[in-house]
Amino acid sequence: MATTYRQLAYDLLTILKQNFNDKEITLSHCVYWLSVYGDRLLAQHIQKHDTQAYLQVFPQVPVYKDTVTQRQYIDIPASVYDFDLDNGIDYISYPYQVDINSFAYTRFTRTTPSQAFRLYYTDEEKPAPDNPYWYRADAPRIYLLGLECIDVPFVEVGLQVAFSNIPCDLDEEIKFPLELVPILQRQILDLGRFCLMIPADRINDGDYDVANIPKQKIISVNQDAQAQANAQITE
Amino acid sequence: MEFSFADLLSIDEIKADVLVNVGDLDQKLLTPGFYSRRVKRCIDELGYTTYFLTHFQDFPTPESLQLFIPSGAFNLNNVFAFNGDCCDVGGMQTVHNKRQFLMRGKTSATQHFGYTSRNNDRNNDGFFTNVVGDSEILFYAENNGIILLSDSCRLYDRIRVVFSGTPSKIDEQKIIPPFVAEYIINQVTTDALFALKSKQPNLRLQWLDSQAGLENKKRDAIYRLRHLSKSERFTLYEALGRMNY
Repeated sequence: MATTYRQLAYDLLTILKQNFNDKEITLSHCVYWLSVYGDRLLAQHIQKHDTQAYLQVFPQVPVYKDTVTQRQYIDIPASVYDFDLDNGIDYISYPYQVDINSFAYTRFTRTTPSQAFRLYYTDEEKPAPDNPYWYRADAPRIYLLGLECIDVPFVEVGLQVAFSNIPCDLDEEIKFPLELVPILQRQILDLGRFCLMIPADRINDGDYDVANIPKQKIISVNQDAQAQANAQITE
Repeated sequence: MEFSFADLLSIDEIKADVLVNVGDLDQKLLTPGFYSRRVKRCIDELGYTTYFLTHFQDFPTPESLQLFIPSGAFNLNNVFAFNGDCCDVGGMQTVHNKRQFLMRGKTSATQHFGYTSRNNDRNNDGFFTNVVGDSEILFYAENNGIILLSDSCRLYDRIRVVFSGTPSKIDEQKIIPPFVAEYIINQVTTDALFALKSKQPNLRLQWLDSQAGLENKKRDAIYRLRHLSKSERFTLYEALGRMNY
């Protein structure tokens, strides 16, 4: 059975015994933790395994032209992992309207602004419509090099989309390696336990009783050390 | 060695193997143009060593008697002068090479720059005897990429230049003879690994592995390209066997 974000989050809340009205850890909090730890685990998983299970294809990403520089660019349609060699962006190609398998024929090659100058030294590497390049700058933009003489309305992009792009619908199946779910749970439970163990700085139980207002800030969770400190203050 | 044009391999066919060897399947380590250029360089190197590609090109006899060697040509094999055009060659003559024949060309029929050379019929030099006049024989020299034609070449309509060609300049996608493909794959793989090891020193072992069989393959490739075909050899044997030269 597929696991949904809601199942996972409520399971964690139940284990942490946070299923009463005044719970300290809320559902949204738990979902946020899911995204934080899920990103870390998924990024490691993709780097370690040659898998494209989490590759997301955006077949029609609009190409814009910078009004000042006239450089053509796209906005990355989703958050991606910042892997080595920009591997979070798996490919950019001409859109399927140009060729149904355009990703398999003309692909944009990665470069960087500082490395791009060398490309113009030779005819074979020179950026051109049949040999286009892309580089990242001014995030979330991806600039396209070699399309100066043509107008391309769209490009197709394949991205290793981050796990933290959690959809609004919590009942969707999580896009996460299922064998890593126990590790994800464990890490969130550790964080939850740590969160619950940290004592509050101030007690606010709604009772206006001057006598009960704590006068000493708790400086340690070590009870013995705290007792000694209090005793010294009393003396 | 002759080969069929239909059997030639494209640059992409070579790259298909090289990319697997280098482990750069998505071409993020090196650009597609880098691989293409290395393949072209490699086939050009074989061409410079073996002259396996022969081209010829016809030019209208220039008024200035100066002919620029076309791009993609090196190592002049023959120069001919003829009347008519490429479809109706008539009155063909061989244009011979004359050592150090230098001239500034002819801008018009009336303007005559003259020429210098070691063997000049206007040179009253006792050392040279039996000098043939420039009106009797067609000759040329090459200087700085320009073929300088003698005055007598003006009598002919066209000049045909036969030269060794630079294979990568052919305006075709398929330029690799099949029997040198193994060498080119190995050479380009080695070149790519050499380029990559400056950033990833751990690739040095792979580079050395790739280099291991390179010399043998290069030797084989050159041997195959230089090797005379059987027909050519048999004709040569027969010609030499007559002993009437």
